[in-house]
Amino acid sequence: MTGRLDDSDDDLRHPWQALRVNPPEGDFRAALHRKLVAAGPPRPLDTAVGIRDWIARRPALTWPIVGVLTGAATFFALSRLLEADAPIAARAPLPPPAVMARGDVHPTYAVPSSKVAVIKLNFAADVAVENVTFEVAVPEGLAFWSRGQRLPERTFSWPGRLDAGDNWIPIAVRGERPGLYRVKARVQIGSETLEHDVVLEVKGGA
Amino acid sequence: MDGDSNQLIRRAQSGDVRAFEQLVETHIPQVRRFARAFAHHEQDADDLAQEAFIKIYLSLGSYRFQSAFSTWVFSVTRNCFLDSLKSRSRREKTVEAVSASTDVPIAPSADQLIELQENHSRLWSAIQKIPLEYRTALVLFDIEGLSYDEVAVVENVALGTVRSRLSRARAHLRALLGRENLRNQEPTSVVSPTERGNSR
Repeated sequence: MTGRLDDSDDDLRHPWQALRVNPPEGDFRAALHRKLVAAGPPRPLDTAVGIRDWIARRPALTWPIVGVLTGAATFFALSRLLEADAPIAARAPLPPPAVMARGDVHPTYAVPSSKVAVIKLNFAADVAVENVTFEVAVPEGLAFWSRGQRLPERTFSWPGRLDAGDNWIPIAVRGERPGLYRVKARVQIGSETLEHDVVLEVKGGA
Repeated sequence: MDGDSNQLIRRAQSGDVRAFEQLVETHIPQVRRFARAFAHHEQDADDLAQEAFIKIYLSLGSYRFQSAFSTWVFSVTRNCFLDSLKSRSRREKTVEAVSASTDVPIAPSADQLIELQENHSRLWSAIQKIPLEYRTALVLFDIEGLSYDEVAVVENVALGTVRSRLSRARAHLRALLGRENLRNQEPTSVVSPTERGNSR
């Protein structure tokens, strides 16, 4: 503790500490688990919020950053104005954007592009469920891999069952170029769908 | 924070519910008690606590390992409770929870259990009447045992403000319960009925 209580406060603290008992659990954890699964994965941090927080923690840098951003904005505004006067043929088409996970995400797995990655997806279930449909999809730039061969399909689905507890599904994939890729998996249980995403970072080199 | 916790956080951030549950395992009793200061009934408090855990889970992406995870959890929880109070009046359940606590160290009789629960209910009711701005400091410092520094981080205020809020919260409680009643609470709550006579 950082501070000490004075004498008059010491005897006041006792009754409050008596409240530090755990209330009966009941089905609290089970209900929480259901709500967490239904809530979906955490939201990735909004880049603007991240930058704002970063600046907020460094107040001394606020005005220098504002100055730099103002200069950059002026530069880009002038560039656009000058570019608008240039002939259309001179403007090169933009390269297609890489298909990657969006936002500020942390990769669950990292693997070099020269290797096949085995991703383990887990669907946790409180009780066993029969007759479910699994589906796994990979984005452009990532491919399913089987027996040393690249598979052309981007999505696979198959019928199955969920056991009570963890249900691990290994999926072999290989990245074709470096980047962050989100592998989407879901399981259909009647009209309900559970989703689970895994982010794979493909690195360059061996 | 150790490497295992960091690993759990990263797994939870990528959507691993089991990792999140493992991560907040030790915080569940604390958040449920904290919620009790903002809800009139245990069932409402549990609903509120679950709401807070959902918010913590969904906000995990914003956790940047720059503060202790436990402090961040309390901070998100506090904001969730305050938002909840501001945005809507809490629905009150009519069913009064009167189940026995399983955590009483020495098994008391049924009468003692009821008396214990009545005293706890009375204390929680009094705490719920303390102004919001002082309530968090009292619950986190006096009940949950956080340090002044930790409470300051959770509430995003200066250390002096925490001391001041704590002092005011206790003053409110003195007024609500009365000093003499407070002293009488102690032995009943602590454990053994035989200690009650000794400490008076």
